Amino acid sequence: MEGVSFEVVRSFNLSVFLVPFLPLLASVITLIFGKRYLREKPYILPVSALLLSFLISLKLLVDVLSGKIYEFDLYQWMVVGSLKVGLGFLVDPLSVMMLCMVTSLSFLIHVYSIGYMKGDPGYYRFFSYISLFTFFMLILVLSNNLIQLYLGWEGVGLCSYLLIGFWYEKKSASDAAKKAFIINRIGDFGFALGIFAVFYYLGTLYYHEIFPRLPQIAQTYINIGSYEVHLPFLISFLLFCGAMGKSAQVPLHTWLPDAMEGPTPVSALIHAATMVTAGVFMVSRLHPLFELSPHAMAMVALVGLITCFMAATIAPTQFDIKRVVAYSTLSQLGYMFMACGVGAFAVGMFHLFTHAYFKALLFLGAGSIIHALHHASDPNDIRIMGGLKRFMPITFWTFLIASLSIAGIPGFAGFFSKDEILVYAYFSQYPWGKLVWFVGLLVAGMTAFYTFRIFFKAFFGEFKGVEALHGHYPHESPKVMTIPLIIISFGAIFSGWLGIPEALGGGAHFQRFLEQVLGHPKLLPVDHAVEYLLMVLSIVAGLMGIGIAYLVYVKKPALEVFFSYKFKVIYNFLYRKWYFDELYHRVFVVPTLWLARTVVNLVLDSFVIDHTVNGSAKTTAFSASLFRKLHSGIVNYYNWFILLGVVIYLIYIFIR
Amino acid sequence: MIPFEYYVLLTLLLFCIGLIGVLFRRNLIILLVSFEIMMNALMILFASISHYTKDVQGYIIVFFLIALAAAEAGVGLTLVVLLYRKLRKVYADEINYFRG
Amino acid sequence: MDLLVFLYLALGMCIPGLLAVLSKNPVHAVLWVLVLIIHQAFLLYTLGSEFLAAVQIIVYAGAVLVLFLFVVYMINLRMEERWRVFVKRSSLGLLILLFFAFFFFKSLAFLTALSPHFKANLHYDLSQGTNLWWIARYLFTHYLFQFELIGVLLLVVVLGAVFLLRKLKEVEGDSL
Repeated sequence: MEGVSFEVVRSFNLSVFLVPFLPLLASVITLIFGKRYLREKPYILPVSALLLSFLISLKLLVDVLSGKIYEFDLYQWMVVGSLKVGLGFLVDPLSVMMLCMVTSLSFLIHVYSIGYMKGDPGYYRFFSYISLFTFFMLILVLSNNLIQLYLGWEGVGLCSYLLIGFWYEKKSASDAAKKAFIINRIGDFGFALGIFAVFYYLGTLYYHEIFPRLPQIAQTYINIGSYEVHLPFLISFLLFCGAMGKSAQVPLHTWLPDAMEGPTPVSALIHAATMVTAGVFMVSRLHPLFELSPHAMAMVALVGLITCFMAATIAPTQFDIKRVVAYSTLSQLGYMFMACGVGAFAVGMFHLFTHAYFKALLFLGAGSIIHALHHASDPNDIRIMGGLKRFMPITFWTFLIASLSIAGIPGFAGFFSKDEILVYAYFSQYPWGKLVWFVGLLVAGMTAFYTFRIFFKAFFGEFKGVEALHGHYPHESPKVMTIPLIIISFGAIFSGWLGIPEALGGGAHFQRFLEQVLGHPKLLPVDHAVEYLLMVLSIVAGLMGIGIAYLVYVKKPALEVFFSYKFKVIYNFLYRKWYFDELYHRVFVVPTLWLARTVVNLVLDSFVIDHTVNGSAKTTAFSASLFRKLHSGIVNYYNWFILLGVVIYLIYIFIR
Repeated sequence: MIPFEYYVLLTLLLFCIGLIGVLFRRNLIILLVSFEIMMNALMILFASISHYTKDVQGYIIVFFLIALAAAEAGVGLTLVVLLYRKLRKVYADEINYFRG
Repeated sequence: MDLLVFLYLALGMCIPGLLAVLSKNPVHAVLWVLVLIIHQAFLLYTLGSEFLAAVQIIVYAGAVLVLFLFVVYMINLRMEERWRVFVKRSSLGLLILLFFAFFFFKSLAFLTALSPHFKANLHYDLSQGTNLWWIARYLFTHYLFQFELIGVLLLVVVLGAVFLLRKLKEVEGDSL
């Protein structure tokens, strides 16, 4: 860590320990006793635990700002030869930032869920799961070694599965849960291999031991099937597989839109703000490894770029409000990876930070709308919305703030972080920087367009859902939901102000704070005039997106239909999400099913397995008919058998 | 001084006497009584070893054995009473409830 | 003289033991065991531990055997006189018994050969305190945990007995 001296605290610190374990405690208690004793108010424990965790995180933030780093092992989990795995904690600028973000959002979303989930039969289950999720997320963030990171990684995956399939009676929900789980498995397989490779070649799993040893492998090439592979690239690639799965990047992205089957607070917390950003966090955490290999950086940037662009093209064609927001999440995650791919890790984390707030706000706003429309058969459909501005003023204003923020309007959080990414990409030393900048600019405009598309469709025009709501009119959500919305909207505005770039007279405090850990990006000399030009360009792109959306969806709604007819092929291609689901269905699902039905079913099942099962049953029956004679039920005979055992043992000793 | 073997012999004799009861009696109460006899045999062994080696351990084990025997008798007799109330039987070979 | 006392006590234990095991009437059996216990208490006394002798009398004769007698009277089965004393088909049991007897008398020589090599772990010296003093000293220091454990065990037995026998009353009439 360059130049900055931190005081490293290596002894056990109770407050660090409490941050993750309070939610765990609350979760376990709620899960065990919730059904019986906490039927009405299961949220008390998780909400208060999260509040405490949040306050402790703030205290830790102050500690870290004053130059302290906590790093200690709670206990050694397993020690096998040179493999050492401890349950350890590392609180440095990077993790303390994640800590504050996760706990604050999680707390607010818990509060929001009190209103949103009210009356659900699984009320207590929901709070228990979401607390458990927070625990695993905090473990992931706080870990000081890769295995614990993996533990948190899998734990959040599990909670994600449980919460996507929260309404498990619904087939689509349980299918989506399985899909998310299975696709994540593919990524995690690579991730696990990556961890093995790290251990095999570096001999340790602790971050603070990995980084000094990296130069050893910087120039190592290994042979894989007659190809010379650069070792850092191989490890980075494997680890990045995990990030692709968890952060839903191409080609493992298909689970995230389907994950919207879960309750909306879950989408906001897990599938927008925290869990899906774990991949970005991991890449940033291990940035020295990725930086060793330009190819790995190019891969990160390229994957981010493709995802970013693809999601931004799909989003305007979808009609499910949550899916649109989900695609925008995909696209913003792509942004973060683009930032990582040009070496600007601190900026990527900055965008992660601001994105968490405005995306959570978007989701919660969408949730508020859905809550108001929950009598409709499909409350997520933006085609039945419209004119909601009159009915739900608070939701309207907060949604507007979130939309402006994501569109990159100056003054809002999204502007600063997105702009920083574009600037850093433009001035990056990596040759793909300019390309990243160009696509980023394009996507910025598209983002503004599709975000304002749902905004205009939902809040302007006439309310079209009277029929679907059986004559009812929607109403504003209860206070317990709107107040978190208002608080988060402050975050969606002001979180960006922590990192106003130098060109605008700010101090970029956020980036400087993280660069203590994440290193400075390699830049060409920065020209402030060009920087202003870039900013103006991105503002123009955002405004154009909003303008087009206004034109199409408010002024002339006929245009929407016109375009979708005119470019039917492209429209269908986008509407079917680039045919990724169909492709996977053809390539993986159909052959698997064929294999299962013919080979396994006919050969294995009816011959091998049936005979094995029946045979074992027959064997059991036969031996039982022999042995039941011994089983007389008379105590004395049992005594004899016991003593007979002793006799046989004694004889054995004598003979030996 | 009595030779140590005598005590061992006495122990073994008493143990075998108890074993006869355990192996062949059908009355559950007498089965338990036989267990007590076997336990007593062990006590003699421990006490004599202690006596011959000037070691307190043996005595302490005897002490524990006595407590253990009391506990065992308590549980055993409880079960016998329970069985008798349920089945009106105290003969081991008539109680074949768990016959396979 | 010592030998005579020992022989008397040994006979006083073996013969009542055999009678107890073979007697038809459970009341007689329990009473024969009482005789055995009292002789054993004396034996323990000759083995140098007056404390254990007292405990033996108090616990066994005073508590355990009275418990046995209570149960015998409670169940009140005198009918055994009309019934078989032993279980049927006891050839396997006989074999086991013979083996044990054989094995024990084989191992007798082994044990006696070993006895000179016995070493004291917690050595005690009667000049410094009585046998009782030494037992107490180790029981309350070295073996304190085990001592407490035995206490807990007895408590569990008491609770278990009360629980088992009370529960049954409530569900009387059910099958086992």
